[in-house]
Amino acid sequence: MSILDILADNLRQGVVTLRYPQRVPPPPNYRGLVQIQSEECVGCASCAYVCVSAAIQVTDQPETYTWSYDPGKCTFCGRCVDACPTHALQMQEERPPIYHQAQKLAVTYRMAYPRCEGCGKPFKVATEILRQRAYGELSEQTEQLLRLCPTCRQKEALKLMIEARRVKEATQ
Amino acid sequence: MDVKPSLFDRLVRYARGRSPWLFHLNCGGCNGCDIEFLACLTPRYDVEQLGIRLEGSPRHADILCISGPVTRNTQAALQTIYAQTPAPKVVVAIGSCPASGNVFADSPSVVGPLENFVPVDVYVPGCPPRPDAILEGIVHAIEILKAKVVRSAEGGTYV
Amino acid sequence: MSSWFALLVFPGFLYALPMGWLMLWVERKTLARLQSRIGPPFYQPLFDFIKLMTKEPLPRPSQENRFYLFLPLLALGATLGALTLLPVLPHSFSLVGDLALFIALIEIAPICLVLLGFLSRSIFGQVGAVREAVLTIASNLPFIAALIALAYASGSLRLMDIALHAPPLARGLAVLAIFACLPIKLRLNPFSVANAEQEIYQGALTELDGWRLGLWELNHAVEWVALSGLTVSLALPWRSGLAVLDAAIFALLSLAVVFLLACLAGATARLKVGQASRFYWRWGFGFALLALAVSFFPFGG
Ligand code: SF4
Ligand code: SF4
Ligand code: SF4
Repeated sequence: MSILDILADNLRQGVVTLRYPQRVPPPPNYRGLVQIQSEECVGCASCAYVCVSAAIQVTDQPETYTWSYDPGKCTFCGRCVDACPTHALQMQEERPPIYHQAQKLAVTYRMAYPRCEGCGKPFKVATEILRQRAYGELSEQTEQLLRLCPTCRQKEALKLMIEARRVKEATQ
Repeated sequence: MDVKPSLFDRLVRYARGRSPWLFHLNCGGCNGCDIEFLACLTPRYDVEQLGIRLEGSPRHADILCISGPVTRNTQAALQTIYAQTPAPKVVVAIGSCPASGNVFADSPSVVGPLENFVPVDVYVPGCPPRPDAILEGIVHAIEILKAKVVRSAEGGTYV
Repeated sequence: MSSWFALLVFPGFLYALPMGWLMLWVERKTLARLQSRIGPPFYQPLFDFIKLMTKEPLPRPSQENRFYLFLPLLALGATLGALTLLPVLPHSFSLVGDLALFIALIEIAPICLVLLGFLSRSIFGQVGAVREAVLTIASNLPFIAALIALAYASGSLRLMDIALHAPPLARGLAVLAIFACLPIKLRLNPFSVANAEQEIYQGALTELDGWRLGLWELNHAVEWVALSGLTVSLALPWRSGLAVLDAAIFALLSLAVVFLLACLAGATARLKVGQASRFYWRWGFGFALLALAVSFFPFGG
């Protein structure tokens, strides 16, 4: 195909330019800004661990933790979304907005650790999704145990074991 | 201080908004952004619809489009090029690299981010951004360009 | 018709300015349409000019500034002068021997560009200036030879006489040779080696900014009018005698030449400086020689 044919083709085809505010919508599963559903997050920091450019940072305080995300550092690779065990992260299917100051789009969430039902101390909990993934269907008793902090859980589990043994011995 | 702009001022601003010329500079990025930037010149996006011309020399430019995290090697060139661009000028940072260093941050050869060296007016996020995002960033830059003073206090060299 | 009318109104300043901008727009728009792009809006060259003139370039030493002001203005004046001599209307202003004056005036702009390139002291400017010089010489060979052929064939050094009385064969060949020289004189693809924007940052224009560039762009617009106008006015063997009609035909055909040049530019890629000058030494000069031969030994005439 000679260049003249190509030019003639182009002329025949007419203008293909999109006039400015028009644009092609991003394809499905487009990777835009990372968004967190903070109630799902358990503060495990897997997302911060896999993030190649340290766009996500999770910092730990005694009673709370902060999850911060700066789109200015993000490579929009989606590794954090894949890594999050509770599916708390999602990506907008829309391209990120233009901004005018560095770190303008950065967000920080401060979340409290849930408290132990026994002693009331904050602790890192395994959410519903995690528990299901790890153990499948659980009995009511195990569910209860998992809502306690590790110390209380040990005590409670020990109590239950002793109780169970006593019941067993009594029936024999 | 609310002075009504003169007809001349308005004409100049209008002309400026209709004829922003670009200079494109890669300060050590991976080239991803540059390829997307060049996609803006393709028939589908065609920056020329906004009166834009891609210029070869920073002295002809109004808008500097900069990609990359600013490396040790490019820093001096960046500053020279910024200084050579005649006022009024606007800087558009393309991609995540100039905003923060992105994946290159903390490398010994990276001295960025870009705002350490030149004032940045518009950030286009993405790695790389979509061409239509770059186009939108340039339109933001045009608005900033139009808002700049027509003639600074030092006074330009007029004929 | 008075020389002042020719210089200031038609085909001089008042005509050339809007026409030059229109031509710049037509060139860019044609190129865009050939690539299926939308291209620049209609008033683009005007806005470009206003913007360039109101930028605030870096201050320069005043002697240098004087040259930056003087050289583009000299080029602009000379090109306008050349334009004045074009034999567009049957009674338009002309001088005895204005062909030689035309050649001299039209060559001033490239010389100014070369000087601007060397003045910039930038390596790209100097490379651009050298390329411009080499190509100007290469293209002037067929250009001047073709004009000589025309002058000899019509037995006059007056552009008006040449336009009206040149024999058709010699005229055809010579106009072709002149047309072939236009891309190089207007620095278009494939002969845009002197102002290559990727390789040498627009060559001699690298260091021009703000109004310095604006003045040069203005000159470039007028150059378009002058050179396409020369081709058209030499190609047309008759004038209607009605000034308005002649002017309209002239303007339309000039635009057609611009369109053709833009198509050529769109269909080709930039050559190397050696290839470009070889092309002119070989083909352009070949055409011009043929025109010379035809005019010196007219067949059947
Ligand atoms: S998308 Fe990639 S770079 Fe962005 S926050 Fe997630 S892991 Fe980090
Ligand atoms: S990986 Fe998910 S649950 Fe863990 S800290 Fe990140 S967002 Fe929260
Ligand atoms: S922002 Fe991403 S695509 Fe652009 S230069 Fe940096 S690493 Fe490459």
